[in-house]
Amino acid sequence: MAEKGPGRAILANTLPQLETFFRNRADALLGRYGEQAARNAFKPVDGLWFGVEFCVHRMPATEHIFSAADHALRKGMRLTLVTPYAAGRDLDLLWDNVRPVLAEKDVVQRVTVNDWGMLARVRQHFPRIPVYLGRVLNRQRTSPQLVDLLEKPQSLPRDFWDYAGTCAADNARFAAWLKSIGVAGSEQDNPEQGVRPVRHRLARVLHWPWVYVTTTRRCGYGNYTGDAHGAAAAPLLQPVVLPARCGRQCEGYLHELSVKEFGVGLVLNGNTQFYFNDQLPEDLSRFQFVVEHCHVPC
Amino acid sequence: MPYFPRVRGWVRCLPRAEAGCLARPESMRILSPIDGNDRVRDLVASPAHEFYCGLLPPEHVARFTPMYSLNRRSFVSCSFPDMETLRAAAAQVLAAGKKLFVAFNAPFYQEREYRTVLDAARVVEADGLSGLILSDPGLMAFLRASGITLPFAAGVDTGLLNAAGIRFLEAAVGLRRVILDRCFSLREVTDIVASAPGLEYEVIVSNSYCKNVDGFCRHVHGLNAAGNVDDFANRMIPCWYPHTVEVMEAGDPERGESLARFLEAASRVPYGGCAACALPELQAAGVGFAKLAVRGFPTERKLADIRFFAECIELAARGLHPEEYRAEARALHERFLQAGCRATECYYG
Repeated sequence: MAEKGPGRAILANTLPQLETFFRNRADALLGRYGEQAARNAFKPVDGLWFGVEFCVHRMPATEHIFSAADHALRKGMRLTLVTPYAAGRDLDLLWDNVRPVLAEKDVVQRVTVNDWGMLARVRQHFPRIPVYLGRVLNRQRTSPQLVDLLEKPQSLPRDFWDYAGTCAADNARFAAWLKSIGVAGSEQDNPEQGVRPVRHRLARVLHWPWVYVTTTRRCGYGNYTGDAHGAAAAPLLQPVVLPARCGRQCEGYLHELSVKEFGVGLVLNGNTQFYFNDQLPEDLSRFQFVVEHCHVPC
Repeated sequence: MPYFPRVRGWVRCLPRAEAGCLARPESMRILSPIDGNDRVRDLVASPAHEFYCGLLPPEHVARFTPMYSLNRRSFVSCSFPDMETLRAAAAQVLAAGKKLFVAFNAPFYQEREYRTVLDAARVVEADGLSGLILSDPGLMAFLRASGITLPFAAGVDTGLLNAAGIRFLEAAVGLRRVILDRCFSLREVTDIVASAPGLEYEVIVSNSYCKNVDGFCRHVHGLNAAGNVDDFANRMIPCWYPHTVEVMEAGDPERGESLARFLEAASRVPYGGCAACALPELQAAGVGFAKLAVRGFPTERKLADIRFFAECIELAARGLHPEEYRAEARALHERFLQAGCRATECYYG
C-alpha cells in the first residue's frame, strides 16, 4: 500500500449525488474543488462511502442504501456504510434503518461509526463486519481560529503545532484500545495546519476537502419558524427531537457563515459546520483511502 | 458473555452503585469547581456538597500553551499549577467530609500525556480523593490497565449520547457517573437515566451554555478575539460570536434568504446558561448531581451560584406547582445573582 498510495473513495449521502459523480466526475469536481480534484478525477474509484456522519435525520432510507450498494457492485466496489451519532432514542431509529442492510451477506464491506452506542451494537450483532471510527469520535483540532494563527505560526510553540496536527487515533495506546474493542480503522480530517506523519496499527482514512468543525442538535433549520422576514426576536434554538420538528427542511440549502475573527469562512449544511481545505498532504502513503466528498457532508 | 474485553483486575475493586455504596441522594447535590486561586476555605464552607478541579503544570503550558490543556479548560487560571497546591486544597475538602474530583477531561491526548495523567492519578488515589472526571475512553482504559481503581465520571466530552453508549463504556472501563451533555431535552434525560440505571447522573446547571454537541465540537476556547492565548477575562467563545450569514445554495431563494436572517438572529443570542427551572424534573428523572460550570470565575461568583442553586434545590423539594416553582426560582435568581433571568439562558427552555 505504501508504494501504490491510497485508494480513492467517494462519500455520498444521496443516490442523485452518486449518479452525478459517476456521470460527470471531472466537471462536478472541478467546479467545486479546483485543480487538485482535476488531477485525481481520472483515477479509478476504489471505494464508496455512503451515508451520513452528523445528522441521523438525513440518513438514507434502507432501500436507498441497498441501491447504493448495487451501484457500488456494478462499479466493482463494495459499500462502506457511514452512520452518524444518534442521541437518545434516535439510535433505535437509526438501528432499525441500517440493521437490514448489515444483515444481508456481502452487501457492506465495513461500517463507519460516529457513535459509541452504534459501535457497541454493530460489534455485538455483526462482529464480522469491520468497523471504522468516524471523524466525530476520532477527535482532532480543526478550529477555524487555528487557520488564522497559521499566518503567524511562530506565535505558538512548535510542540503545539505538532499536537494540532494529530488526531486521537495517533496515540498508540488509544489505537490499541480501539483495536481491542474491534475497531479496524479510523477516519480523520485534513485541517489547514496539516496532519502528522504518525504510523499506527489501524487503517487510516483521510477525508477531503470539507473539514468538520462543529455539529449541533439545536439545528437552525429544524428550529426555523418560517417567518418570511426572519425572526423578530433572537431565537433560542432547541434540540430537534423527532418526530416533532425535522422534515429534512435543510435539504437543498447551504449557508456560508462568516466571523471576522476566524481565519476561514464556514459552510453550514443542516446541523454541521465545515471549512474548505483542498490542499492534500504531500505524503499520503499512511492512508488506506482518501475519501472525496461529492457534496458538503451532513 | 460480554463482547468487550474488560480491563484486567478492576472489576473486583469497584462496587456497583446499586449495591448500596452510592445511594441516590434524595435531593440533588451541588458540584462546584475549585480553581487554583480560589478562597478554598469559603468554598468548602458553602452549601456545595462536592467539588472538582484541574491540574495544569507550567512546564506543560510552556511547551504546548493552555490550548492543549490537561483538562477541558484552556486557561491557566482555571486549574492548579501543581500537585502540592491541589493536595493542600484537597485536604481542606476532605477534612470537611466533602468530595473532590480531579478532571482530566480533555477530549484527547498524545501518548506522553497519558503517562502524565497516570502519575497524577496515582497521587490522587493515594490521597483518597473521590474520583476522576475523564472524557478520553482510551485514557480510561489505560488508567484501569495501570491499576487505577478510582471511580470514573465520564465527562461531557466523552460523547455518550444514548443508553447503549453508556452501557458499552460502563462495561468496558467501569464508570461510576455520567455527566450528560446539554443537547438533550428533559424527556431524553429522563429516558436515558431510566435506560441505563445503576450509575450516578450529573448535569450542568449553570453557565457555559453550549449551542453545539459539546463533546463533538472542535472549536478552541483558549483564545481571545485578537488570537492571543490565555486571556480568560476577554476569552472568545467561538460559537457565540455573531455570524454573518449568506446563502450559498437554496432550493427556494426567498426561503434561503429568510433562513439566513433567522440563522444570523440565532447567532446573536447572549451567552449564559441556567437550568434552575428544570431542577424538579431533573431530580424526578434521577439526576443526582448539579454541576456549576464556572471554572475561572471569581470565588464570589462561585459562591453566589452555589447559594442560588442550594435554595432552588430546597425549593424544588417542597412539591410546588411548576409555575409557582419557576416564579420563585426566578425571584431567587434576581436575589442571588443580581440579575433577572433571561429566557434565552434556559438550558431546557
